[in-house]
Amino acid sequence: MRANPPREPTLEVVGRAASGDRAAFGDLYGAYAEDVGRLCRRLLGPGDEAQDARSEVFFRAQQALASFDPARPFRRWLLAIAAHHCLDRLRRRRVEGRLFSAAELSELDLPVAGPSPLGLALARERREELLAALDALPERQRAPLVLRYFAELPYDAIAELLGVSSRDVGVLLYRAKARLREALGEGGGS
Amino acid sequence: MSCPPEWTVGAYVDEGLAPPETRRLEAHLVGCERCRGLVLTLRAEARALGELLADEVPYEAAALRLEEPARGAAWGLPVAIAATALVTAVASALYEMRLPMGFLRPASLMGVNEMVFDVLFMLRDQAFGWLELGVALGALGGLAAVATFLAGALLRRYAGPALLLACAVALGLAGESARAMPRFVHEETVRIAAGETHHGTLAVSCESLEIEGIVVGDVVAFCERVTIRGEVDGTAVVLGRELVVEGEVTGGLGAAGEQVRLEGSVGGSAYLAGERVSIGPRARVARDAFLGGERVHIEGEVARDLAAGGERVELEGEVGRDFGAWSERVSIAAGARVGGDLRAHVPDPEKLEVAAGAVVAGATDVDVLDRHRHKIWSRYREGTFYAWLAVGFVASFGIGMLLYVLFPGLFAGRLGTGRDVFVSLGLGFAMLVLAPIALVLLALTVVGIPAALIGLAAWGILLYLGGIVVAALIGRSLMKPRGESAREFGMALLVGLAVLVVVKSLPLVGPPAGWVIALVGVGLLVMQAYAWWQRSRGVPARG
Repeated sequence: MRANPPREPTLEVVGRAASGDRAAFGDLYGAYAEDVGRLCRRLLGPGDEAQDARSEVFFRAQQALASFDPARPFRRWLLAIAAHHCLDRLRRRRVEGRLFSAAELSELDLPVAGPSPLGLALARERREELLAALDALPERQRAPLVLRYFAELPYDAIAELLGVSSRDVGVLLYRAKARLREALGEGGGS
Repeated sequence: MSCPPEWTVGAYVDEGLAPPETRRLEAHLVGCERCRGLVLTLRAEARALGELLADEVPYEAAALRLEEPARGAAWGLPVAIAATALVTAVASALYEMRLPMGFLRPASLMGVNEMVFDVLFMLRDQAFGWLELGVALGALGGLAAVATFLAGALLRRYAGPALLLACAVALGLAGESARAMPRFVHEETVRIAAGETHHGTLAVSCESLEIEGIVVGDVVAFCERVTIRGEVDGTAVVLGRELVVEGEVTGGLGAAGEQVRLEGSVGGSAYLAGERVSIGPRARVARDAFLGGERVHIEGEVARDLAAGGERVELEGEVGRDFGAWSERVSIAAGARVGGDLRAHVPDPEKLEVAAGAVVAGATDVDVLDRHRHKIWSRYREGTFYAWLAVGFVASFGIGMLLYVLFPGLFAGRLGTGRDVFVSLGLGFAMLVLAPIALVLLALTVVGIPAALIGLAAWGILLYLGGIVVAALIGRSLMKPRGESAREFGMALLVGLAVLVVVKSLPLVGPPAGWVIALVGVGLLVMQAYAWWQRSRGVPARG
């Protein structure tokens, strides 16, 4: 079941928060803490780091609130900050290099006949398995999936965050979904 | 025109295509039913993913849910319970018998004795027959493995096949080792004729051993029949069906057989066990005698203490010091004499018959044996047993649900691996031992007495709750509930409690199982409390 998406805060609340009203920022925190936490959890995997990341994201959001463009949806703006921060953490985790190297992408370019796309839609009742498969995805595939379908960021925003092209985002998403379908297929059942 | 690749269609669904590409794809869609279908399914998939990712699962708990909570309990608990049951059974059996002969409780050996000897001689005579025995044992093991497999399949996918494999390997090994065993080489009859003297230890395995001469040394024999008419200047240990000592053994005598008859004299102590054990009218044991058998009959003399256990113990002879008897029925005939105390352990006082002419110099002490062995079975015939079971079940369920509503964190513990089970068990055991010590220390301060009383109550409650926590774990492992709602938890708890109630009411296994389960639960609760304490101090919990 999908939790009711929090209503967009009124510009007034955001404005007050931006001008340093602690109570107003508290309201924002209350409304979005869960969403931000979930995004961090999905991107960073299980562990303590997601919780640290969430606090950090709100701290950064508070700093950046003055630059928020009221014409854009607040949730997407906040989740983009969260995504940016989490991806930073993921990059830091792998000292050796960039998350999305060109070499990896070129391998991904090859289309592979995967299982039918219907699989995921029909398998919603096998949620635990899906979530497990999601956690098992490589970061470079999990990140776009979460950013697109949870944070609902547009392709170009995801591309910018990940440092790849829009077309690569499509390929990564395709690969991620194919993997999930495969994982469900292997898990047995129809 | 060929269809675009799936990721392009996906990008179109996600509104991630540039305007010119979007127009090109839309033009293709008009004429391509297949791609239109793909768009629809991808859209459904995107929606499903969105819902999945936005699921109400709290992100901290997501990691917990992915793992089966009681995976380790599937094999860890049965192993722990079996081990505990074995230890307690052995300990209580030893305690109950209080016999120096340990493993022999003759009263319950009806017919077993003969079978044991049949098996022993069969093993000796047919080394190759061992192979068959191995096969028989293997078949038994196989049956057990199949049962384990069925149970294992319910809880954990691979435990069953692994056990099955282990049994197959064990069966193979048993067969091989049986083949490799050397055959006993034995003659039909070994005789030390009258006038003949054998020096050194005489160790024989044969059909019949007859000693009419003298053996200067010890005798170790494993024969169908052993007859000692001559003299053994040493210790004799004989095993067989029919054992008769008419001559003299200067050392100790140990004999186990179907019929054990002592008609001669023994210089040391005598340890005799068999279906029928008798000390004849002219026989004499210079030291103590320990006798066990279905029927024990003493006509001769035991110079010091006599301990006898059996279905019937009859004394017509003389005991120099104390006489202890463990039996269904003890009779002391007229003319018999006990120089010290008489201690009879009988099911009820009337089972001790002391004839008018018998003499007991010391005190006569009657100890009524607790026949809880029979109670174990008879309780299943009583309605109250089931009534209390039902009351306990309902109470546990109610308390479990209440706790879940009030403190769901209590049930967050996991037994992911068998190791977890033993860690929890160890922790629980430590609690079991340490808590009373701490409470006593607390009570010693006098001021701490109320606190100690409260602590004692808390300790008892903790033991009770431990069982409920483990029941919930087992239930969740079996039911695999999808959510955390109270209803789903309740179903799991019902199932888990039902499993535990059945296990705990099993004879023999039940009580140790109850303890193991309670202690594992206590261990889990302690770990939860520790994690909570850590969190409250600001130390982040491990994922």
